[in-house]
Amino acid sequence: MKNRFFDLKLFIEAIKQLKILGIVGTSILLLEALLVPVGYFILNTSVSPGAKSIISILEFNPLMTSVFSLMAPIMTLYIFKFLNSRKGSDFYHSIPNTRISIYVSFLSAVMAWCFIMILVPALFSSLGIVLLGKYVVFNFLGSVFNILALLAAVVLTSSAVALAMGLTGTTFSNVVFSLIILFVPRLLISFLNAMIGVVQPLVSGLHIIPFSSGHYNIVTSGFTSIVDLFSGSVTEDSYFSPSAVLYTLVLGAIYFVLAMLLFTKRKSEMATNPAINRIVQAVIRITCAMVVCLIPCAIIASDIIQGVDEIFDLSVTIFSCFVLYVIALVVYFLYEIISTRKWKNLLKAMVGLPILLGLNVAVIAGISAAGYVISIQKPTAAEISYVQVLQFDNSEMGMMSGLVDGGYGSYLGGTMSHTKLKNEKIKEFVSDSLKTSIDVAKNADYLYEYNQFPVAINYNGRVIQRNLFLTDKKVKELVKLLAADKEFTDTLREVPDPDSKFTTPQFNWVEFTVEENKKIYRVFANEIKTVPAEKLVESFLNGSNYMYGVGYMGDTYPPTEMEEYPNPELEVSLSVQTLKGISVYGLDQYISQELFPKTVAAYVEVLNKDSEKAISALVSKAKSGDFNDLSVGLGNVPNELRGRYSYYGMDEAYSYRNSGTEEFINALTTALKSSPKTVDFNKPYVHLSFSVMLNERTYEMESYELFMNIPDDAKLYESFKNTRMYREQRDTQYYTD
Amino acid sequence: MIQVNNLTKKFGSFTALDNISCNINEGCIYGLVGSNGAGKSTFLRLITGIYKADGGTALLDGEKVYENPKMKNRFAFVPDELYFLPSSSMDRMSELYASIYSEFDKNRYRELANLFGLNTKLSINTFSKGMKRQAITILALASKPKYIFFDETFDGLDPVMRNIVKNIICNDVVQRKATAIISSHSLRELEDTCDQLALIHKGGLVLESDVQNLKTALFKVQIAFNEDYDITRFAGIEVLHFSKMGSVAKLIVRGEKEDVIARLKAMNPLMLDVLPLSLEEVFTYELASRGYSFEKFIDEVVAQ
Repeated sequence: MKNRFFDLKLFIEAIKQLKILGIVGTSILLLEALLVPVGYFILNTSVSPGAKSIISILEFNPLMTSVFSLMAPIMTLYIFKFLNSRKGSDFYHSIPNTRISIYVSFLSAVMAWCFIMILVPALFSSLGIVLLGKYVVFNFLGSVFNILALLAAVVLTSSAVALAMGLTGTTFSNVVFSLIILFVPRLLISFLNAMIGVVQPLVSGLHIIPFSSGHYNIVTSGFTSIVDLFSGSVTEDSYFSPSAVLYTLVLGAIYFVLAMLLFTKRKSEMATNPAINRIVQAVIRITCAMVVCLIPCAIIASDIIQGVDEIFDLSVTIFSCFVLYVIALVVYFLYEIISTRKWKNLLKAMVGLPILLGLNVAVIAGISAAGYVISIQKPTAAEISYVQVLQFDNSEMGMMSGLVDGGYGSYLGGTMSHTKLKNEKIKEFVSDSLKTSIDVAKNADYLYEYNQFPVAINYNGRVIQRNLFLTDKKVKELVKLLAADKEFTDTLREVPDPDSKFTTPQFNWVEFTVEENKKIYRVFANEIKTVPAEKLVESFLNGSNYMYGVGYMGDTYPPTEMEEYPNPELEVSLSVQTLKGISVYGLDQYISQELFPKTVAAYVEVLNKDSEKAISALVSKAKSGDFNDLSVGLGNVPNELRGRYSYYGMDEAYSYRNSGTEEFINALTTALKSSPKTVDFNKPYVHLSFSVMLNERTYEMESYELFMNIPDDAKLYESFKNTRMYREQRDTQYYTD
Repeated sequence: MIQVNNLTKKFGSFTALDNISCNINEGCIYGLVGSNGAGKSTFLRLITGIYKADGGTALLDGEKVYENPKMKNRFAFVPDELYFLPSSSMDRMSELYASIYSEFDKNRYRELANLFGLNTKLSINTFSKGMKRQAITILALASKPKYIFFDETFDGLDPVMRNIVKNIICNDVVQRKATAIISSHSLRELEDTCDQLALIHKGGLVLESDVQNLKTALFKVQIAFNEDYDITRFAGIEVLHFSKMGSVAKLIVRGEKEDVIARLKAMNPLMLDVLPLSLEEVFTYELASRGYSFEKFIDEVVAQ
């Protein structure tokens, strides 16, 4: 088949030219596809996971991303490198093919190899996941989207590199311009967003420029997610996003067509020239310098909107901007000298400096104007159609709290952002709070005194995202309002379906079986529907982050987590993965005894199922003290005894024998033998956890954990007071206090 | 047939070819002579459709070549700088040529490889400069082109190989009615091979003529008379060059040799010798007669 647009023989010829790269790439990925399931199998047979993981192909073969990020660009550079040499360029321009036919046939060969590198290992990874069905759930639809995302990314990177090669004529300029085409537009969007978010604390920025979320571009998503974090967003995973696949594919197609047009226009004599003309050369040079200039632009724009920082005075700002602009100029001239290797061109390059200056002024003015426009948007309650509570914002805090559960998107974030709150009181609250927040945001130095609460406001047919800055009193007011909104509380109660095979709960990382975890989770899913609304909303108001001034609705954490010696109250934490559509979402919950007594009881019941065995193990080691670790926690006991006390390590065994612990363990085990399995947390109880070494050579250990009631016995308490672990810990606490 | 009309090519402000026109008939071996940078390679790149002309046309069999795969399939172009796939052997290159040229003949490729005595399985990287040129010549001729374009063909070839290449080209022209354009900066390389010769200088076509005509139309005469004389004595004879030392004069004459000799004999000279001219001498006097200084041209070549 040979026509104006494609030549099969030339395509096969290009396949041959790329075969070494293709075979090596496919082999590496195939090896990974074969080894990862084997490793996964070995890992899961040695350590019981307790919950099945929802797995897609990309998680089993993460190196597949190298196909678009590494192999596609390298292959494109390799197959079209003839454009960079006069003899190669002349040869291919003299052969009986149209320029379009050469371009399409060659680039198709690159894509064909990349598709092979993706599809063949994907097939083997799929087989691996299916064979590991006992340990994992196959996210088939998600895997299909993984593959589509990778293919779309291949189209984008290979076309972008081809486009760069159409405009430039040396390997150095090819690579530089490829990076510019691939990264700079997205970097600019992300950076502008981030900067608007930084200079104007009222926004996260992502809602200002269309398609500004970094996840749209699969190729740059990994890179821009870092910038996006600073703009106040944790973006969704590109590899599971239909919109990202479509966006990347469309962008790739645009680059493909542009590169094709350039190939038809490109002159053979351009080989070895850094750019096809002075304009392209100037564009590359200015773009390289402009990337550096973005930082001083942001500093200047920030000072315009928020005034000069009180900590760093004006001279620091001026000096840092001066240094950065000098670096930008160095980059500007360095590119010219490296690419053209002619000193006299440095003089010619100076003509572009006013354009660079103009761009800087435009960026500073643009950011400042956007910041100003945001500060004058004050919708009244009557104008607001609905409000959405957002979970993720203020990235720095988000990063600290691990906003994306276990690397997955937040389940709660998803459900809450789809809930439209139309309650008049909430609208009024948001409208009033926005007005006060605008004043608060004018002085960023005092923002730490407020709780930041992100919402989306729909008014006059458009959605704006704003961070509300609330006092503690206002937060309490908001909790009441949200608790009164049934639609909102229903959303909080709507946890992943316990009966779905794509819901994989896990409690406390204790070695429960998949069935045991599911059993406890069913109790939780029913119980959450009965929790009083205000308590429920309060519990979701993230405690730990609230301390830092960020009070968003999110995953719950135990209130005692930050304390050095927490009470031995039950700290049951739940981590659920679930599949919604094609993506995996996570939900992390702290299950408090106060709100979820039934769930806690179900948890303890499962925990205590092997209590006899645990007590026997405890008895057998009581004399030798041969524990790997031992932790004793007492609850509902006299205050002086409350707390958790521990030994760690085999080295403690000698101390143990002389520490009075043996007497306490003997007294405790005698008491536990008559204790019922169902625990009443209103009575004295003990939380015991310990592990013993089964095989010192292989470090094989067995761990035990149980909660049991103990008698309110003064002798037992006295025995505990005589243990070294109690004495030492109390002494430490005494000195600390 | 190759028809070139007012062909012009510019590189920025530099005019590499300026309004060149010529017609090259089928079955002709056309030699292009010129110094380095005269425009020979540019001319070949324009008629092979590598470059797009800024003005004028270059037609092969009445059709333009640029972006015309049908016409490009009819020629083979061997440029001055040779292109090979990285680390490839001749056999690998023959696969590339076979996928590109529909008329590529594997048997002919084998025959020619044997004739030149090249190992087709060895990496071309191990070949000498001359062997690489042989290799590309074999590949080009195995694609059985109707038009053969060679740029600096004999560069790097030893005398034996030059003769082999010349013979193959001549055979192709005779047997397959092929047409060849061969460029060289050496006139001597072309004079025994080409039917027509053209001299390109500074982007312009200075001279174009049939080689046989060139060689026979001009001849050198040495003549002496008893009495004193000057050039006016030869009125009626087209004398391109006249010099006299003592009583012996040297004339470069254009015209029918027999007729001119008869007329000179009728003047009763003391001595009359008629000598042939080398092609270089012919060019010298032809150029001088057209207002160009061949000496200056040679000086420029030397300076380059």
